[in-house]
Amino acid sequence: MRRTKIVSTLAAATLPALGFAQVSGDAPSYCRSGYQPEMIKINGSAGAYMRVSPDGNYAIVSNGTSNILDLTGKDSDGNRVTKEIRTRMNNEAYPVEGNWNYVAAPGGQMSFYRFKDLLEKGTEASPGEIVDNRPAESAQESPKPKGRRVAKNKPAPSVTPAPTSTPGSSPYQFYQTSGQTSGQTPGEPERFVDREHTVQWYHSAAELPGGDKKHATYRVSLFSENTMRDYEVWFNPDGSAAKVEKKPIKPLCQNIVDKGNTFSDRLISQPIISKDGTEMAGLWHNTTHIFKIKDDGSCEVEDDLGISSYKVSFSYPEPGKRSKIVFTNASMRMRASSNGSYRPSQAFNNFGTYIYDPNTKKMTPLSIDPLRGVPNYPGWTKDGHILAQMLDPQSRSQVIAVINPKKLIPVPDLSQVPDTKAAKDCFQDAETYTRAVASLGEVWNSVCSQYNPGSRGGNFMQALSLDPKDCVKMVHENYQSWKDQHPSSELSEQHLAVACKTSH
Amino acid sequence: MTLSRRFSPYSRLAMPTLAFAASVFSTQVLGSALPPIEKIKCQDKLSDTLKTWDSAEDWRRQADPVFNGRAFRTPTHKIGTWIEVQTSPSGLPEAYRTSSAEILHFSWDEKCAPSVETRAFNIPKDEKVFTDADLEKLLKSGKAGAIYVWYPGFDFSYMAYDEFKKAAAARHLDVTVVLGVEANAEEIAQREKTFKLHLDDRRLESVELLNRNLTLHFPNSIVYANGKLAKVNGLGAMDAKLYGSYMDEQLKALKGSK
Repeated sequence: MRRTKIVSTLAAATLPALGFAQVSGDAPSYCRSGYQPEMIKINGSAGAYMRVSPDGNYAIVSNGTSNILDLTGKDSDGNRVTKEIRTRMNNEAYPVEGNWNYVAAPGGQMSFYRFKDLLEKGTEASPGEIVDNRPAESAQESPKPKGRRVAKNKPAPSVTPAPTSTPGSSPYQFYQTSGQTSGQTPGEPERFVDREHTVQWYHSAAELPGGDKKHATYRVSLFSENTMRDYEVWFNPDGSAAKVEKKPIKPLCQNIVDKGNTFSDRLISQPIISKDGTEMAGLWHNTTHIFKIKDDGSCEVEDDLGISSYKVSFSYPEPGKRSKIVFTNASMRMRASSNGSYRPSQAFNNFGTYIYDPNTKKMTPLSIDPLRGVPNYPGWTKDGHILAQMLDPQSRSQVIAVINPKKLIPVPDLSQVPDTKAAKDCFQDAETYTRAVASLGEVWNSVCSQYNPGSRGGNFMQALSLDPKDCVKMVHENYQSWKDQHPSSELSEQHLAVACKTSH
Repeated sequence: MTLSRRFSPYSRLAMPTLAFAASVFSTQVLGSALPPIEKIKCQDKLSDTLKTWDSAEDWRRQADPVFNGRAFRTPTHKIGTWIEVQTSPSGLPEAYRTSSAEILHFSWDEKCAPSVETRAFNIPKDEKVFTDADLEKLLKSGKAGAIYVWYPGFDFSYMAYDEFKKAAAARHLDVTVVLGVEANAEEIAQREKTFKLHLDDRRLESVELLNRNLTLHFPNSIVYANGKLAKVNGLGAMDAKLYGSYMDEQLKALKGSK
C-alpha cells in the first residue's frame, strides 16, 4: 500500500521538488488534513547555531562569521526561500532575546549591534552608536549615572582608548571604536561595546521584564566562568541607544555550583537564558536543568529533565505560566534501511525536536516523519511556532522547518482508554487504543506521505493532528487495504474509526 | 515460550527463529533490575529477559520515545553492548539489546506474550568508520587518551580543537578524532577552507559511543584510561583550562577504578 499508493492516489506530479510530501489540491481531504510543516529552502550555506527572530522572519546563523537569513522571500512557485545578509559579526552572535533590537556579538569584546543596522547595512554595520537624541523632557526622566559619557549628536572628543570611568565612579566604561571590533579612532562616536565581560564560548542575552520603548535592562550570561552582567539602556525615539549603564559582573548560580569542587559540580554547560532573562537552562551533572535566576545572580533549581539535551530555546512568556523549552535530541530505534546496509548510526541518530513543558512536567517529541532528519537549533517565535534547521533526507538540501506545535499537542492521555462511551465500548484496554491511534498514523503516512511509517511516536502525532471527520473518511476508504497488509491484527475498522474521534 | 507476532511498526523486519530466541535465554547471569519507570507492565517477563543480558544496572534516562512513554539505557559488562528499555504510554515495555553486530528487540503484548526481532548491522567495507573494534584497540592499548567527536555544521568543532589538543597534550593523552554524524563532503571542504583546519573524518559507528550520546552535540569528547571510558562526556567547546578540568576529574576517577 505504501509508495505505490502515493503514486496511484495522488499522482507523481504531487511529489514536491524538495522531497517533502506536500499534498496537492487533488488529494483526498484527509491528506490535506494531516499536519505538514512548511519547509523553507535554504539558498547557499545554511550556517550553524540558528537563532530565530520573534516574528519568524529572520534567523541569525554562524559560518565563521554570523550572518542573517531573511526568510520572507519567495521563489517563482511561491515557496519561501532564504536570502543571506552578510555581516561582520563574529561566530555565534546572540540576539538580545525578547525583541531583537540589539545583537550581542563576541570576539575579544562583546559588541552590541542594532538589528536594524545589520539589516540595512550588512557588512558595513558597526556596533550600535550611543547618541542621546531623546527629547529633553524624556532625557531628564532617567538618573544620570556617575561617570556617564554620552555623545550629544556630535562625535565624542576624547582620545583612544577611551575608558571613561573616573576614580570612585561606577564601573561604567564604554569605548570608541571605528569599524567593527578593533581599533579606535579619535572623533568616532561612542559605541555599545563591553571589553570587560566577554567570552570565547557560549553566551546568551535577553531583555528583562519591565522594559518599554524608552528604557530596558539587558542581561548577558557567559559560560566560561558562569557569570552574568546587566545593562540598563535608555533609548532614543528611533530605538537607538541614548545611554547605557553597565552593572557589575556577577557570578551566576554561584550558590549552586560552589557546593562542590569537581568539574561536574562547577560547570553549567550549554547555558541559555530565557526570553525574559529570568531563567536559564543548561547541563549540570550530565542532565539538563532549568534554573530560576535571581537578581543577585543566585539560582534555584526548578527542573531536572533527567536527560542530557542539546542547547534549548525558551518559549516567549505567557501570563501565569512558565516558559516551555524546545531542544533537539536523538532516540534509539530499529528502522528499515533503504539500501540493505544497516549502520549503527542509523539506529541511534534518530534526531527529533522535543518540547518540555515545566507546567505539566511532560516531554513531547514532535516526531512526525517529515520532521525527522537531524533537526538543529530549534527556536521559538512569539506566536508559538518553532523553526528548526534540518537536512531533507530525500533531497539532502538544507531547509528550515516551520513547525506549529499547537497542531500536534496537547496529546491526549494515551495511557488509558478515553473517557467516552464509544471508546469504552470499543477498546478493552489502553494498549489496543494506542495501537489503533498508531495505526491511523500509519494509514495516513502510507496513503498521503512518501515517508515510511516507521516511528511509533510519529504515527501517534500524525494521527492526532487529523480532523476527526477526515480521519473517519480515511479509515473508511483505506481500512481494507491496510488490513490486507496486517492480516493478523485484531484491529477492526470500527477500532480505527473510534480512535479518530480522539484526534484534534 | 510462545512467540506471537503482533502488529508492530517494525513488522517488516525479520523474525528470528525459535531456536535463536531460546538461545537468548540460555545464560543466567545477574543484572535483572528494572529501570526506574513508575509503571511497567509484564515486569516478570522483562526481568527474565534482562537477567540474560548481563546488565550493569546503571540506568540512564533518554528522551521520551513517545508522549507519556519512557526510555532508560544501561551498559552491560561488555564494551559495545547496551540495553535500552522503552515503555509505551500504557506501560507496556520493549527491550533492546544493541551490540556492534545487531539489535535484538523484545516486545510484549497485553497478555505479556513476547515478540522478538533482530536486525543485523552491516557497514560497507569501503566506508571510513570508527567502530567498537577501533575503540577496543584504544582501550586495550594500556594508554590513556581522549576522543574528540566533531561535525562540520557546528563551527565550534573547529574553533575548540586546538584548545582540546593543548589540554590533552599537557596530560600526555593520545587524541583520536572522529566525525560524529555523516556529513556532506562539500560542507566539510567549505568549513576546512574557512577554518584552515583538517579533522579526521572517520565516521562514528561505535555502538558503545553512540549509546553514550557522543553525537548529542558537537564538539563532544570523552577520555579513557585503565581500559575504561569516563562516565561523563566533555560536552561542548571549552578553552584548554576547562577541558583540562574535565580531563583531570575523569582521569582521576578512572585511575581510581578497578
